[in-house]
Amino acid sequence: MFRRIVVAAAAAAAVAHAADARACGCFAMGNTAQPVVQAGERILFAHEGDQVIAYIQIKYQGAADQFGWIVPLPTVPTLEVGTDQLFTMLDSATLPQYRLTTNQQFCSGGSSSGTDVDGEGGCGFGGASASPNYGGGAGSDMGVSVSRDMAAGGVVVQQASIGPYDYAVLHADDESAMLQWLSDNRYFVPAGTDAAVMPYIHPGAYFLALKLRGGQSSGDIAPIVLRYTSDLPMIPITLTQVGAVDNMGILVWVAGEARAIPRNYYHVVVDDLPIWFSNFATYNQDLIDAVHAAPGKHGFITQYAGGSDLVWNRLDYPGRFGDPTQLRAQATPSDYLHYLRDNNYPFDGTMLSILSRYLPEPQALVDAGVQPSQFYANYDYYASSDPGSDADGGAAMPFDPGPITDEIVARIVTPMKDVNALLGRHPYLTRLYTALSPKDMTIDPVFSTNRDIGNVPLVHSATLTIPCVGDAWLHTDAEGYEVQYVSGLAPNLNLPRAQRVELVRDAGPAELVQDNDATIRAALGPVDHGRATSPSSSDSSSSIGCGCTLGKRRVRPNLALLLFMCGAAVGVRSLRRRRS
Amino acid sequence: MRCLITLTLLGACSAPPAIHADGGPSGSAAQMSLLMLADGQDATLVAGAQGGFHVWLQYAVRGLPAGTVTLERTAHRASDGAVVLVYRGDVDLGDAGPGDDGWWTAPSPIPMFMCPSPIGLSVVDVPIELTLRLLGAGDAELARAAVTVTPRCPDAQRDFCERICTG
Repeated sequence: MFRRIVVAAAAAAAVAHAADARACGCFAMGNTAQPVVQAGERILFAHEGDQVIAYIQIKYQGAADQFGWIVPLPTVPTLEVGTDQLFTMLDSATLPQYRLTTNQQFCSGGSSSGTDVDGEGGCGFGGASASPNYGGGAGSDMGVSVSRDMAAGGVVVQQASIGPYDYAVLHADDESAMLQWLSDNRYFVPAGTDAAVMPYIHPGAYFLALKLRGGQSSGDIAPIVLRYTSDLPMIPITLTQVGAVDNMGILVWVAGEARAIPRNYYHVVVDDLPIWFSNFATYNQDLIDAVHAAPGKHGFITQYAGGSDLVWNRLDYPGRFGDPTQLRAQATPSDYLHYLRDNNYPFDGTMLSILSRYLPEPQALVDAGVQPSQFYANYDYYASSDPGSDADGGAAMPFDPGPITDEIVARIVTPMKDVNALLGRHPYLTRLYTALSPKDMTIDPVFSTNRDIGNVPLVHSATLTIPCVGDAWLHTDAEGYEVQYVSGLAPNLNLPRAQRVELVRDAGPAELVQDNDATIRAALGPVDHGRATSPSSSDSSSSIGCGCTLGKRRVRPNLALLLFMCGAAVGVRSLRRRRS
Repeated sequence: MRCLITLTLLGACSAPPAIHADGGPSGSAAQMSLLMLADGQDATLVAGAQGGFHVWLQYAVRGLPAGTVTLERTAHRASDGAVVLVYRGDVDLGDAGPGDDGWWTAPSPIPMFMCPSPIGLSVVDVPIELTLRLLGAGDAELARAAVTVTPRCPDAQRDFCERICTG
């Protein structure tokens, strides 16, 4: 952490004082930063045969007995329990990366530049990022929150339990009958739901309703996997509006054979310049503003489109999970937890929830504020200090590894293996993002594919050149934009957040709807590239560390700071290399 | 007796006529026929359960060995060729074997996804050309059939249909 702070500070100094530094020869490495994308709804779609497969992450904060969730479906679905690990992995692996190369020109001629993919170099840009915010209250994904228990009724097609859920599949032939069933079964129906469900009420249509089983907590809520017969994946966003918040982020991944497109939404290409200028501080707002450039605010941004190999075998790889038979043979809680850790089982909310039922944290520790994650991570320590909590330490506490292993396999191992296999069956992955407010949730986005348009790379790259004499300038590699960083500061320009808005059909190239390229270029103004070398090398009268070659100009305090920070960063890197 | 109408209209009502046969690069004798719709007729859009509208097609094939091939469904606006739908999926031919007449008929109709229509593209009250193609290895065309129909919104859901089907 300390190293990162040093690097970021050095980067800030390097940019802020580039003009004063003139031609500090301190070599400046680039950096790759990953901003944080806030999303309240995350879905992975795939299509196999005539089935749409939807992995849906359900976000909910509240009492377990108040949890409910409904979603319209074209056919009776099959249900499985998914894993939050999928979305953690997908989000991380497909998050756009911003890679800045800093090109420091030496007054004595030549230049030095570098890009550090791992972000370990000194004098690079550090990325600022905001924490995810899912809105705090109850979130609903692809459905509305309902509450209380359900009972059999005339509209019920199927009722069963799976994982932490009880579920029912309801006929949606008739709005009044379905809503009556919800009412009879004391489902909370938010105002406006009756109107919102209308587009989904058809003969032969269905609704799926979920609730938590008795004894399950909110922490047990896991993604669900739906398989249903349909041609194209769709998000019933019109229904979601009932429980949504303003500018709710929606992240969609589509695994398939070709690039996925928003069939009935505009496609928005983000203008990266404001993102570079703000150093990612306003990244999410930039994305939202870009989406809002689309007519009706109905737009999706493609954040990645390319091979799915970057996500395959991340959840399940040789050696992970060990052998469930061996896990089942662990006789003590301590051995059991060690086996889980040694074999890279995820200690996420699902795992902690399972552990809490079979290896409950002693109440005294709960009262003392010891978090479950802390307790299970340091189980041996707490067991030794509280013998009553562990058969290893003293008073015997019954432990049967059979049932807990069954549940871990069913709710963690199998879902992770299954979705990993699914990703392996589809060579292409597309990541799409939008942000919608309830009032704009008027059209359900449908996703199809287009084989004629190209990939969208993960990496967005730019080069910041710091000349020997003059102001630095930024050059974006994809668009070829150039802009001056006067006195080392990013310009304060009111640029469009969308570089362009397009229509993308199922075939053929994208059709331009709105092109802001000329507007952006005009706003950037002329760029002076300065001088790559000093006016006269004979003017150089001193040369100090970092390879800096200075003129007769007095070294200002901020330049001294830059040099200090560069030195610190280089020193840290050297220290790290020695350690490694 | 099935009434088959397809692109070339070789026959109107016969046990499936060779409506359109395209042997593809290899010049195979495969034939594909569309059922249920006639060229030039109106087709009432059928509401899908998730709020969309479709035109349903059924097809029959002969002259192809049993096995898995790619079925490509496309829809274009007849007036200007604008793309309404391109969709590919695998289909197993001949699971149940061909009928006495040598034709293998798809076990159930398939939807041609019309609505929500692509932005700026109305698919109601205008002729839409629907095409099915069977593709083999390397996307080689094995057979194709097409029909042009005019989708109409159902009266019961006209407002909603026109809202999501007119681009």
